[in-house]
Amino acid sequence: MMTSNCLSLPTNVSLPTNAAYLVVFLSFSLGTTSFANMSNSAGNILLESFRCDSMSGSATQSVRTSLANLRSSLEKISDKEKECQAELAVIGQLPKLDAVLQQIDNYGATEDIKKTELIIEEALADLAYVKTIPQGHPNRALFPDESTLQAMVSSARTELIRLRVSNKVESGARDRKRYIDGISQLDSLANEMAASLRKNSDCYKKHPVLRRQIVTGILGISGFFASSPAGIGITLAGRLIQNIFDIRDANNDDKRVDFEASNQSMLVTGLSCTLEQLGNQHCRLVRQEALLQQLSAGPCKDDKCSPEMRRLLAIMEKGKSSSQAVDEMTRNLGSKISYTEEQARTLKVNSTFMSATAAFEAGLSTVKESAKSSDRSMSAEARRREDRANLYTAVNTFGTKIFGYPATGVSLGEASITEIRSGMSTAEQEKGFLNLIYSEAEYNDLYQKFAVAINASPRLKRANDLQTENGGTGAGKLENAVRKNMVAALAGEDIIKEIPEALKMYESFTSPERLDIIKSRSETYKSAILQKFRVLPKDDQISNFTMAFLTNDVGQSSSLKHLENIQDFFDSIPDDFKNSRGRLLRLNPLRTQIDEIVALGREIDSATTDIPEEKTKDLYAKVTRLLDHSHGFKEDMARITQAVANHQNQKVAGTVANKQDIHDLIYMQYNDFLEGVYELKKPYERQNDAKNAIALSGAQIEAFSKFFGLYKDNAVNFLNRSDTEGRSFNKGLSENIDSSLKDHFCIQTLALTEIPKDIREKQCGNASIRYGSSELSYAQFADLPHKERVCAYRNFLNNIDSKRNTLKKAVDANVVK
Amino acid sequence: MAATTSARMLKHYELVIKQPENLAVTHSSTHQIGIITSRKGKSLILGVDYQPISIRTVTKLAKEDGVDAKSVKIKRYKTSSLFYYETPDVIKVYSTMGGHLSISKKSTRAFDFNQLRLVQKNKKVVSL
Repeated sequence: MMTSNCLSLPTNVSLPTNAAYLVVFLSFSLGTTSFANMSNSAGNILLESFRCDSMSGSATQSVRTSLANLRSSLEKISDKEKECQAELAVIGQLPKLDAVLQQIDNYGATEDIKKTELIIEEALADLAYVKTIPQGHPNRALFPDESTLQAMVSSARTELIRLRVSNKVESGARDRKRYIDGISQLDSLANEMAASLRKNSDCYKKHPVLRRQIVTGILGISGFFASSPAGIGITLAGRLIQNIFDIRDANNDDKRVDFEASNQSMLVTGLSCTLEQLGNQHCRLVRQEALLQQLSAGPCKDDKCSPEMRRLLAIMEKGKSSSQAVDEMTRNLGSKISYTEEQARTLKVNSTFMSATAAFEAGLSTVKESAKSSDRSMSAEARRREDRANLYTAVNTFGTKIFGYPATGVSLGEASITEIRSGMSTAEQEKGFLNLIYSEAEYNDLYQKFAVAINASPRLKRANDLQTENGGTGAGKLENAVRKNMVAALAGEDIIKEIPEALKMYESFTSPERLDIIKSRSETYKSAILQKFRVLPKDDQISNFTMAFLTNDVGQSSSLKHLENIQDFFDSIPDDFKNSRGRLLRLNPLRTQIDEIVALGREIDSATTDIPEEKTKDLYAKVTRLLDHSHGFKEDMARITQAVANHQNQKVAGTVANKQDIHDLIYMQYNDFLEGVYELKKPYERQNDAKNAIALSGAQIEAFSKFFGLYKDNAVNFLNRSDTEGRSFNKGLSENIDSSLKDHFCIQTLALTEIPKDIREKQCGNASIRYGSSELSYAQFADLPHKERVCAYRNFLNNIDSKRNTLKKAVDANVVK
Repeated sequence: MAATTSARMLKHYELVIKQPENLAVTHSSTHQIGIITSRKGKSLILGVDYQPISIRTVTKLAKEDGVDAKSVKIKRYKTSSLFYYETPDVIKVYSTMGGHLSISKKSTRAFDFNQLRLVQKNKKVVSL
């Protein structure tokens, strides 16, 4: 999610960040400031929030860091009970904020995945440490042994793969909701903090550090929003940043109260970074709005449009229609195939059972593979033990889900699926997972042999509570004792030494024959269970569904029409794309599925006699399968439309005059997809949003302009090689401040809605930057309307980027020759 | 934690408390827990689905629970150890062999760490 720029862009959009170069240059050549000073400087606060330098870690981590500083300041305030009471109430929300960040962090990863990753991380760290402890040292006992740790890592890695697969299938929608809830809570908390700051209370006057830290915390949150993929992030970030600048403006009695300006190098980089990022944001929004207008008027109507560009726009238009079609179809049909409570319960059982089955089958298959080896060495014996242990775990876990744990006279925590277990006979429930391993005849035979062995051994009788220490009758039951020992035998416990049959059971547990029996028996049970827990649509559901599928709703096309639109999109995909990417993106299977549904839908729609029931049921089944979230139709379509657009973009890029237009189009397409996925709004309804965002972005720049006015003199002094008082730097420092830094800074001020007079006329009038034969002069843009000049710097850098790439290609081509 | 990772590790060991009257055990919903009362009613055996754990990780967990690392108590055996610490509400016990208890303090008469044993499954309650 995070990029090195403040604003998030898709990875296929390259946006050079000159401020990043400035940061690196100034940090290394002039890095004389201590960390403590930096944390209080205006420049650093801007840098932290706008992230011009390449910060590592996630966006949420960055917010956490800001808030950790805030907490630390809070702890230093001794008189919490007095003037800071109200402020503390706000800051008291921090733990809650932490939980919200946790929630956002969890997006895309369930708790189970996190825990499994943690197990791996911890076990690896323990392993590394244990290896440093000498053998026999008492501290070794404080750690699990090496082989256990290694087994934990390997087992957890397997588990991780399984969880990731099931997570993707099961929890996508739930996580998205959490993410959106998290965003909303974060926004609300940040605004409460901002409202507290506006009061400019005695607490903040007394503790300016606390105030600064809260400002930084809010900026950190706004930085998080700005880097979030959803377009709404820009709105939230903008509002928060504007809050900060307004707060600063409302309390400007002494600018040094808030931000220390004397650290000039950081100030210049901070201002430069902010100008560049705000300018980029505004420029992109302005261009997007223009492009949206163009799209809504019909793609590329003017004559300047190249055939390739026209084709790209047409394809993207179809891509958008198909994305929209998928979205509407899912929503429209979703309500028509809602389940009754009973069906929903059945579905839940089915889904839980299938999840357990998948894990079991994966485990069984791993053991089967491993057991194929006929190696008889010691290490092979160790591996066989491992196989048996793995099989025991797999069969025990799965069997317990179906039958409950075998009746052994003790009550273990059971993780059975109650609905399935209760359908099993008493005998099956008593045998538990042993049902999966032995037929009834085999089980009865083993039962007899174990019973004889136990009865013949006073020690076993006592151990199983069949006999008291004095030789009397114990409270235990023989049948429980038999099953308990059979389970222990499969687990490889010591009992295998005492009962000959137990050893045989253990050793043949992973034999090919036994594995085949387990597979066959588990499949029989699986088939019977699925037959029982199958959701059958009721007649009225089918007829509702068919009507919804075929009929146009008010202002909405029918689902059949939507699918026909998707067919159109598939038809428009260029052949070279189909040939190169078709298989990877599963174009053909998807297309076939859609074709079959459309053909069936048309047949039903055009039927003049009674429609056979099988046809409507078939249609229902096919559509349900296509839209089943676990098949990811929606995501597949989004990926395909995005990939087609990117493909066409690459083809067109070399032929159009302004490559940025293409980049912007792709960016919009990308955002539409994301917003569709996050269900924030319907795709392609963004023109009004773009206008609002431009207004907001303009207001942000306006607010920043006031802030800029307070600090510009110190920054310009520095770029003119003099200190805050205007005294010239000594030669050693001066010669390290290149004149091009000031030129870049001046050009960046073109992003301001109103450029200060002295900057415009005195400091920057002659500024210009060059790359090869390209030149951008300040004077050329200074008098243009804001929406034209705001893009000047960005376009110049993009052109340089484009030329560099062209040059690189030429060099590469020569090298190849 | 799903059973596959940890159940295998745990199949041989359980945490046992002798004389467990009035002990109430709580546990995370993500962990399976088994409670076995012995025939004489004097011991409570708690086999909990949890992976083996080191002192390093336990001190980290303690810190996350707001407990100073120094407050983690250790009971050493020859090749394994038990760890426990107290939060305001519960007593948490871990072992290097796997197993984890979370004992509610509300209904605990008195928790005696010496009563705690790490034992092999299916064996009499004895210390290692």
